[in-house]
Amino acid sequence: MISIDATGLVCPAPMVKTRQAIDALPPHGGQIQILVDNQMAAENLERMSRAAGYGYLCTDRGGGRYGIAITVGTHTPETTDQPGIPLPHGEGGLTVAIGRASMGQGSEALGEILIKGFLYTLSQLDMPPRSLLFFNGGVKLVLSDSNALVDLQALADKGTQILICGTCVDYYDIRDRLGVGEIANMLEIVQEMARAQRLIQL
Amino acid sequence: MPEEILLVFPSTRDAIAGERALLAANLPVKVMPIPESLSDQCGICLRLPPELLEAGQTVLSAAGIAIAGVYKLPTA
Repeated sequence: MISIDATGLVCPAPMVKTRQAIDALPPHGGQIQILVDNQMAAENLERMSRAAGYGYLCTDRGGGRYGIAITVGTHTPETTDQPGIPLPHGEGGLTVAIGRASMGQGSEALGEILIKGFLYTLSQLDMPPRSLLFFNGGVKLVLSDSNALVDLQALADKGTQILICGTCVDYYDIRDRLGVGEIANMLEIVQEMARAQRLIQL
Repeated sequence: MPEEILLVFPSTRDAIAGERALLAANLPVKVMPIPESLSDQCGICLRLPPELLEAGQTVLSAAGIAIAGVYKLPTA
């Protein structure tokens, strides 16, 4: 069993630490106990656990603190009613890094509509991506007026972690216009890339 | 998942123009690839809430953008 004290940490740090601990578990799984002091962190961990099929138990420790136990390896992932698109390897661990609000080179107008079709299709995968990383021009897609927002929210609801480059958000001065996801620093983005079983760079 | 209306266009260029016209009219249009159940051709189609279909058709018609088909999004 691994214990994590994530009190005093704000999102996405509790999630990042938990994922690191899950990655460090032996192949047969195990249990991770996390202490957090905000409800948002507890809810994020519950959503992630449900999507991945992990056991989740939350105990109110009082004073705004929650003790969370996540059990990996003794549960099978929940199935959904909607038929999805099977992945070739039948496993998650996919991270998609999105640095532009367009897909491919050539026509910008074509690329801008293609990437929205891409994000919708990602949301239909049986096993949604582990994480989406948005930086530079890609952050345009996560703004509250983006018409890809509903599909990104659907991914977040399925447990996909959406990390947004904080430097980029400040550079474009759009911190108050974000519609989905969590601000992340470069270290968190690089750690997520390094941890990915498969990384797609758009 | 709430039902959605799919608008299919004669070409991807029309779909791009259609998305721009609908966004300019402040309609909550979304994008997805044309489902395999509707066509074996590649392409992009647009999604609208059912109650905004008529408003969408009016906007597209005023912009001179043709629609090739209107479908309900097949749900499970």
